[in-house]
Amino acid sequence: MKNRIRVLRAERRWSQADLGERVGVSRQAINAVETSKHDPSLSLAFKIAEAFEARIEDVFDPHGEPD
Amino acid sequence: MAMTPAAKTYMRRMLVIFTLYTVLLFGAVWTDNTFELAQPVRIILSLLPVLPVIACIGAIIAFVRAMDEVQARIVLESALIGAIIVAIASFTYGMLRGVTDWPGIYEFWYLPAFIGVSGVAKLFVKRRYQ
Repeated sequence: MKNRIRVLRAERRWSQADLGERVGVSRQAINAVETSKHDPSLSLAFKIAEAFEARIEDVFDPHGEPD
Repeated sequence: MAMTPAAKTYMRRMLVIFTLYTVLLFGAVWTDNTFELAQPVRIILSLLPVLPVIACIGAIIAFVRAMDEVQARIVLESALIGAIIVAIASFTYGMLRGVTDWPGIYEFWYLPAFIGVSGVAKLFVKRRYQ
């Protein structure tokens, strides 16, 4: 599943650890989701979208192939 | 890296459990060697050190539930790989023992083997998610 987490983080100058702290998961978890090595649960996907004040479909593209 | 509160609780619980295990194990061995005990009492005595090990289940489950989904996945995948490898290895060795005079494996070794193999598997599983 493709996502825009890296771009959205860069826009806000957040590290993976910063985002992890905001959504209550480890830096490792953010990295795994960001690099498409782990598809997040619905709950985590919503939390990440909320952290960016974006809609879930603006962060995650279930039809896109990971880079 | 700083330990999470859940990891600290887990370490504390495991320390208590293994201290209790050690005391019960040595206590049971000493009692068995010192006194003439009836067989049913010896059986109960030999099972006493198992009780704290059973308590590990609660500590481990609580720790895994406190992890985030990626950390939990790494631990569960590693444990699954460890269980499968130890099961296949013991199964294979059992087959070989049927046609050789190789010695049997003491049942005590299955738990350390599972923990050890899962630990090694975790190093590889972890890399997959980095």
